[in-house]
Amino acid sequence: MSLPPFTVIGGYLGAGKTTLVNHLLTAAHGLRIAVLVNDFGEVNVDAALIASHDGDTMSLANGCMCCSLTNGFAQAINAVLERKTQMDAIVIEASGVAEPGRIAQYGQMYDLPLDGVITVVDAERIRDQVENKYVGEVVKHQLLQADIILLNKSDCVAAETLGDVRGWLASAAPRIPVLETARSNAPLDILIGRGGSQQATPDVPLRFTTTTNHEFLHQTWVIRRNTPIKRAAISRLAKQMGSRIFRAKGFINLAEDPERRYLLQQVGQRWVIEEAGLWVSGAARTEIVCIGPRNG
Amino acid sequence: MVNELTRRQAVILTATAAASSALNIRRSSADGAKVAETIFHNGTILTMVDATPRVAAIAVANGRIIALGDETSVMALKGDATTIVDLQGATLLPSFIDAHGHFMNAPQILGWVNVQGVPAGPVRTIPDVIAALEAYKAKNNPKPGDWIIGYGYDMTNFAEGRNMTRGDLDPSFPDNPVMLIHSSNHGCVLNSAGFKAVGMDASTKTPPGGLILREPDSNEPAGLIMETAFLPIFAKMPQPSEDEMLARLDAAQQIYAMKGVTTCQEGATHAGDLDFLRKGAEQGLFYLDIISLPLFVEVPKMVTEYFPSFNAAGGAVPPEAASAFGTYKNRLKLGGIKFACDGSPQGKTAFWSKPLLTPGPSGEANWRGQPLFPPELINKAVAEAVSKNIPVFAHCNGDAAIDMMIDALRQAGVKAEQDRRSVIVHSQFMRPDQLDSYVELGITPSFFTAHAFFWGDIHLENLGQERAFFLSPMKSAQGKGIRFSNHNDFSVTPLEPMRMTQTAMDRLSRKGVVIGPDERVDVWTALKALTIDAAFQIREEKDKGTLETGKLADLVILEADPTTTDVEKISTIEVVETFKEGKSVYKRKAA
Repeated sequence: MSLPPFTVIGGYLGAGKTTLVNHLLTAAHGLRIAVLVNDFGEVNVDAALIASHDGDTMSLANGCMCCSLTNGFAQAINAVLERKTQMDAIVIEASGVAEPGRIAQYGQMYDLPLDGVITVVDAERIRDQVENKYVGEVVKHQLLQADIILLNKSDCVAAETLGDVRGWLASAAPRIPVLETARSNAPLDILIGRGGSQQATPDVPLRFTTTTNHEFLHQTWVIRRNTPIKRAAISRLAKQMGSRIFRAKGFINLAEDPERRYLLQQVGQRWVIEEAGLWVSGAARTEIVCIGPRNG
Repeated sequence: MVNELTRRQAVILTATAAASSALNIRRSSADGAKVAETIFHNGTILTMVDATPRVAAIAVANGRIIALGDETSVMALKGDATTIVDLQGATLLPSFIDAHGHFMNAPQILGWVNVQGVPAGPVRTIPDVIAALEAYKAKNNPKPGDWIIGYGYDMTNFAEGRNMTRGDLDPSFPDNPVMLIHSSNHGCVLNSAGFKAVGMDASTKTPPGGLILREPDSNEPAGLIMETAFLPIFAKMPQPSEDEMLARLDAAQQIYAMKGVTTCQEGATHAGDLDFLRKGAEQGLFYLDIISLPLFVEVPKMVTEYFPSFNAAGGAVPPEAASAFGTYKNRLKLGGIKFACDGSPQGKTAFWSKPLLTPGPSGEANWRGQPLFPPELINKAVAEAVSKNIPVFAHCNGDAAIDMMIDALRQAGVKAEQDRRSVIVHSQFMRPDQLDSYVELGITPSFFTAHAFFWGDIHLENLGQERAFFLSPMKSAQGKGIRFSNHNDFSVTPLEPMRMTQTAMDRLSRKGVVIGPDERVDVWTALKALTIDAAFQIREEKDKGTLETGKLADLVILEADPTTTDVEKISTIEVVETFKEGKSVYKRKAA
């Protein structure tokens, strides 16, 4: 049985993690997303959407679910994995002082493929938070452990301040792609990579659903090659894309093994290339879909 | 000579008894309480009152102390039905108050086998572990397939100096899965039946952040698994049913009563635990007092459960809930709200302002730990508790965590003159300047001096002499006029009031280092931290903690007087009998 990919949402108290969780649970994305949260009380789901609620687990009519971490990560994850319907993705909302990189290891206890670490940042308060004598170090680690940083509440600060914070982030968290958001309104395709390696079968469509979107400051583009590419060249490409993309995904026509398809999945600066079955005859070509900042 | 004295005493006693019973007839019509049900005499009686530390006799009726003083005046209260307890030279004092511990661990570990090292358990060698497990098996007759679970496994206790393997366990336990939980609670040793039961074998990959020791020359798991390899398995272990847990409440209370403790603390109560404790109370299963401290993160859940119409968002507490704190109902009392700012110093998860001298738990350099919660969250919840007059109890081990709680209390407007008695539990690695803040805010620490014995050597290595020697700084606190209690944090360390007394006095580590010679206190102070000062901390000093007329007859008889016993022997003093409100709740079996 394949296991759903695992996404960690980190960031300090008040950055907008719970708002993000509410989006994930209720947006019309058609995915069954399980979200593990620390504080059930803060999750704000319309009562009409709730199919059942048994104290520590809330099931929604749209197939999503939300589990409380009150009794520990293991209990919550068991509640998700033991369900009859397989979930498409598992998202954990880390506590405000947790290091998301450590939380990411939790998923590996259960062999869940790590889909990404998203750190949400409060554009107004981040500079103060990193100076705080109690939590400053943790907040810095939260930035450095991110695959993608959501610079949230960007609508709450003046353009000049936003520019300053962006400039500061570029040195405080170098090479980590930053997406500006207001009310945590990040597109799902950036948040969740849709399917770990185990789900990569020829039937799964590979397209990101969003294209260039003027409301958001991101765009998608496709890299195509008809000739086989060497593994080293792919690694170079992925490394170069690094801070310029949020995610990239696509099949590779690998020069070293032209009979088989290879799947590249990249989030920020982290990528994996895995074997994904044989090419359908004549279809072998590299096609990588990228999603990144508009000026990326 | 002896005979003569005894005869003379007997004559006096008889005469007094006759006189008093004549008086009693008159008194009992006017004041029924003035006939003693029980009189204790002929031993050392420590009142824990500074001005009158010792008396000759004490009289008890209707669960309270009705008189104490010299033999004659107390014996004057003897009636026809009075039981006279001859202490035979033993020592009577107020029974002990568990100033901080986890009562819910008691029914849990009762289903497990203690495989801790000496003195917390019976283990010095690997065969000692097997023997303890075999004794459990002989007594409980588990069916094939039933788990046998031991707790407190630690290879550093073994003379053999190696980890146990499945091969050590398999010959004695071929049909029962065995799990020996590591003393850190972060790992275990399994036997072959255990590995089969959890579905772990040679094909199991070691997860990142985990450890599966393998057999030499093969990929078969050898026995020990740790961290991420262990946690998923432990979470799926079968749990005892609520009825099983309720049936264990008597034995759970005996863990306390046999050590002379009659007020027990459940010091980090989850919502489910509170439901369980309330059920136990409603069924009348408690004969000791239980103080529950609901965890602040669980408070919204509890409020929603008990006050469904109240909006518990943001941790708000309705006035009716606030009034539920502070009074016993069927021996269960909500004592306050429990906060937690950090982890444990021995696990290096406490939160210090300066780095340790050794690497962090995952090898981090310049490690000073981390807070458990954002200060904003703590500040808000503390302010809510303070505004509703609910006592605050806060777990803080490192000085940065202590700073966080001092900040929170100060921001909530707490001042010493308000007499709130906010408790900083452990206050383990304070800075000297923080004691002044304790005075300013009326904070009372509950110290944990047994750390000097159990982990003193490790603290010295991690923190250096200056910081390690200031652990649980009783003498400095006393110098500032701060009242404090002492605790074992049961079941982190075993419940041992006499070891607490000794460690407060000698602060000796296992290796024999005095962990802070300047912070040693005298025996009277050490005992007050388990009695009257612990009672003060939980606002029960009018009823508990000293032997005074009108107070509850919560008493303990010790086989020897700790105030005259050599310090190094105090921890071995045994309890002869324990009384809760005049009723015997534990009596040592005659040797």
